Amino acid sequence: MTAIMEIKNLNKYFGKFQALKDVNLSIPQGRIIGLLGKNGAGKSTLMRCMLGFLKYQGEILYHETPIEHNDTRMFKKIAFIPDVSALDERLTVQQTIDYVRGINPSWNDQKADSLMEKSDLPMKKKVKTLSKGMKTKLYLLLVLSLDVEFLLLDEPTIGLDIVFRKEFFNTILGEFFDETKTIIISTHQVDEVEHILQDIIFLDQGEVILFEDIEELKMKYKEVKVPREYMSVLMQHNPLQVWEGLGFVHALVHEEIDVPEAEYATPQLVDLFLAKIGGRS
Amino acid sequence: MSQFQALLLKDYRTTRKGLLVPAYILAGIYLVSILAYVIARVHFGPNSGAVQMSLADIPTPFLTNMDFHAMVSFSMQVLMFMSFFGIVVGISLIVVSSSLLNSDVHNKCELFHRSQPVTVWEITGSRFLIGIGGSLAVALALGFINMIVMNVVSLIWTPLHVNWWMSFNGLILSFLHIGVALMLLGTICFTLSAIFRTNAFGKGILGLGGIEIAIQIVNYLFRFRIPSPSASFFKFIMSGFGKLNMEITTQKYGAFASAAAKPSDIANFRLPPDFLSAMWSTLFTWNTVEKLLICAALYVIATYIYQQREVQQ
Repeated sequence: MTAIMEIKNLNKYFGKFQALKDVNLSIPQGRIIGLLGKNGAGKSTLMRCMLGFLKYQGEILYHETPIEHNDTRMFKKIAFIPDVSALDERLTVQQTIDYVRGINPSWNDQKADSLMEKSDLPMKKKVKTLSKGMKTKLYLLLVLSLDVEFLLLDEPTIGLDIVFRKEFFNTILGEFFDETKTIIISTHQVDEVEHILQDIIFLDQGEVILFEDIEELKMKYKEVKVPREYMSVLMQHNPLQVWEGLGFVHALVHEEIDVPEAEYATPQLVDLFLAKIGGRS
Repeated sequence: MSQFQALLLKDYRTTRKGLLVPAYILAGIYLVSILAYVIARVHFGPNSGAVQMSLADIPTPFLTNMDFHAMVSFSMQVLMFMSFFGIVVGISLIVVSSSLLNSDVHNKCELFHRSQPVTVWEITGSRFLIGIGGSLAVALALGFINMIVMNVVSLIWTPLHVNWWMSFNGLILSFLHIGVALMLLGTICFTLSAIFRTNAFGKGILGLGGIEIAIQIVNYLFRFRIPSPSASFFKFIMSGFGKLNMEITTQKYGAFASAAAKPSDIANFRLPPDFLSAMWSTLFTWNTVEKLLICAALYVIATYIYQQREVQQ
């Protein structure tokens, strides 16, 4: 698979604090990749390094071209939605659209018109008067109107209700993604995006713990459910993660392990994440 | 629309409020003047000496010497620009340019603007043009409006014979003199905004104050005579239009400027034929070139510093 971005020996320090530790990644083209990590794991820092916002040690190559600090050329083909409401609140909705349209050679009028028809954005209102949901909707509309090949989403739906979060990711899938486009999504709401992700990166304390195809990852493990009295038997198999339910004990074990009287299920991404990272710190 | 035009338009839209402060102040002054006039009319009546100057009060030489009136038309614009516009636009320019490269940080939209496909040079170029060029354009537009208002008021309520050509020359010349000085001041603030993310002007002044104190201590301890940098800088900034002001107030051209001028002096006053060219020659000097070169160098330095900054939000 062709790599759209190569990250080699990436280190990032904020003073003496090391935010990223020797990160090596090869981001494949045409995939939807989840970036998972606890608060402060370095997800936003990694994204900001990938976009050239921060200075770093190491090498980041976009289509084999090194990304320099403050190198804005790549924004012709890369779009980004940050975790904070970063739109310029001094502008109106219409002025914001005009600005992004004027400044981006990759703006697609046809796509923008179709998206605008579907949206209920108040064009004459200042961005600062919009609700958080509306601001995210506007950001999404702007980004989806661009003909870019790589989309980075840094916790884009944080603070939004579940209906809007679902609508957001459905719109991304419906309006943006095809096999030539690449998306990296950093989010806390793992369960909501799990069904759209193809690959997963686990990041912890600035280190990449895992980068794998989700289907392959899930095939390596299974979720086991046994009655409470079988817990001691279960524990003999060194489960990666154990949690209790009503009258039952659940655990995450390697695929080849068989536990008597157990029911099996495909593990959830969040359980795999907890198993890999939960006990580390 | 080109990328740069889109940037300019956005920067105009986000900076407009700050740019128009001098316009609001001028409008306020006009409003107060009109109110004062209306109150005076209502209180003292239409023929009150407080409202209308009587031609009989004016000495004859004032009314007949056209050279004197031309000089007044010229000098009124120069003085107006040197005083009111210099101060008001100067303050507004300091406020606007000190935050030019940090307004996105303050408005928490730096990530949005920096993730657009435009170079740092284009970003700083657009901010410079809108923030500093825009402030000067507002000053020129207001100066022009004010010139018309002042001349019309003079024509209606005073015995002055307005010389529009001389007014126009006075306006443009003083604008260019003040403009170059203000551009330098604005570029310094622009550079400070690249160095400091918050309170750029305050920190710059604090830094300068620190240097001043250090120099004073060194001078006192070692009996050196290192000149004060702020005094030298102020002298350098003022040098251009100081010369223009001096030319007007010297004996050669200065009949109007002298408050003690007798009517006979005014009657004999003649504008030399080379008056305007002499006035314009005060602009085309090495001092002006120096200021412009410093502006260009500071712009390059500011952009370089801005480029080195990390985008943090």
